[in-house]
Amino acid sequence: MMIGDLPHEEAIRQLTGPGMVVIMGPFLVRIASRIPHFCRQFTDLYRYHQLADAEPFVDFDLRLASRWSWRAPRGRVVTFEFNGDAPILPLPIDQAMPLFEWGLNWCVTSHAHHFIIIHAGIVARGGEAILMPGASGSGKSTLTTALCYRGWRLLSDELALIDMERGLAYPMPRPISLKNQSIASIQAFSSEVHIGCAVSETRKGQIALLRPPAASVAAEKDPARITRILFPIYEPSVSAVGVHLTPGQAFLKTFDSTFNYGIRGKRDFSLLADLVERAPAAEIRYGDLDAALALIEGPSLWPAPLLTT
Amino acid sequence: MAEACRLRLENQDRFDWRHWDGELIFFDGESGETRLLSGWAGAVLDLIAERQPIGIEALENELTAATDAADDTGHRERIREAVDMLRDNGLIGYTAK
Repeated sequence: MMIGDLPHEEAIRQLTGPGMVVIMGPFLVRIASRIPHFCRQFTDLYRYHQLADAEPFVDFDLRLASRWSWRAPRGRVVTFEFNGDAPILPLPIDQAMPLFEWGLNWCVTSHAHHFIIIHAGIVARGGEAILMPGASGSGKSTLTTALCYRGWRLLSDELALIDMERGLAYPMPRPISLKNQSIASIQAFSSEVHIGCAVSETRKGQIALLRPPAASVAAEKDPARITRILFPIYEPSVSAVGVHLTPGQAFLKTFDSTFNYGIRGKRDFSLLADLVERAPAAEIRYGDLDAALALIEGPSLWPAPLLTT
Repeated sequence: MAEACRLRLENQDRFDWRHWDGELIFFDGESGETRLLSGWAGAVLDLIAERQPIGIEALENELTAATDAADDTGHRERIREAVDMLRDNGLIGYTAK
């Protein structure tokens, strides 16, 4: 059953009581909170996600709580609790939803070491995925969102989870986090986007969380093979230009974006080397989304055309 | 010393590497570092791995023949620079003839 199928009162009862157990890609996450606006935003943004059938083992047991703080940030704050601990600093109460997303990212990157985890947007079509590594502010979430509204499936706008055994990327589609001017860019790009939470004055500026597309969440158990690596750089003065990267350049840039490279020694090296060997890589500077998509889906950026276009 | 000795891989359990056109990337399992070397390093390392132990002159001759490179002093100098770079990084060493 999807969260959106639950009567609102029942959803709130679960969240404010024992917690709601939600399937998020390869993980089971229990969420509990008594913060009313968080419960509303969570059920809205995650409405297409499936509830776990029984009360099973969960990977991450999370609680968002509200309390008064006399230290900065002063006033009513929200705390993120994981298995009873508070691993990250509290934030002002209106940032409960972004804090949940950042906290869950922390849980995954700190614990899910059966994957190589790359700070990257990742989308797929027909089992063929484009990995888009990049630092915060590089434009990867904007490009990921635009591709999702042009027929690509969202695996993640933030964390690419690559399985160590098969080298496949596992989806964890969650709300897409847009920042500052990219919010207006995406609203102008597609009228279909649904913003479930908008907050100003966060540590990253203005943030809007977009509900992930229903079809992407429905396919959250379907892994994809990465066949292209794209390093986006948002540059407002440029329409869209791309350059090819060598495997060595692609390796170093991808490795810079990993969270847990090296903890399995040579196995991590081999997996990334296999990836850059089979997946052609390019860097794209873009300021215009339509031009960027035309370049990505066209024949000039890659040595061979994408199979799915 | 180079003429009297031959080159071989060092610390084979410690390192892993890949070589693409003009690029050698290697992982050092001891330090956890990953480094990129350019130029002849990849070709030199691959040939040593295949033919070890191998003398430096034989190495230069085989690489020259295999790559259609001009057989001149500059070419041999670049190969010797690659050998030095690989030795400095602990990937190869000399063994007694």
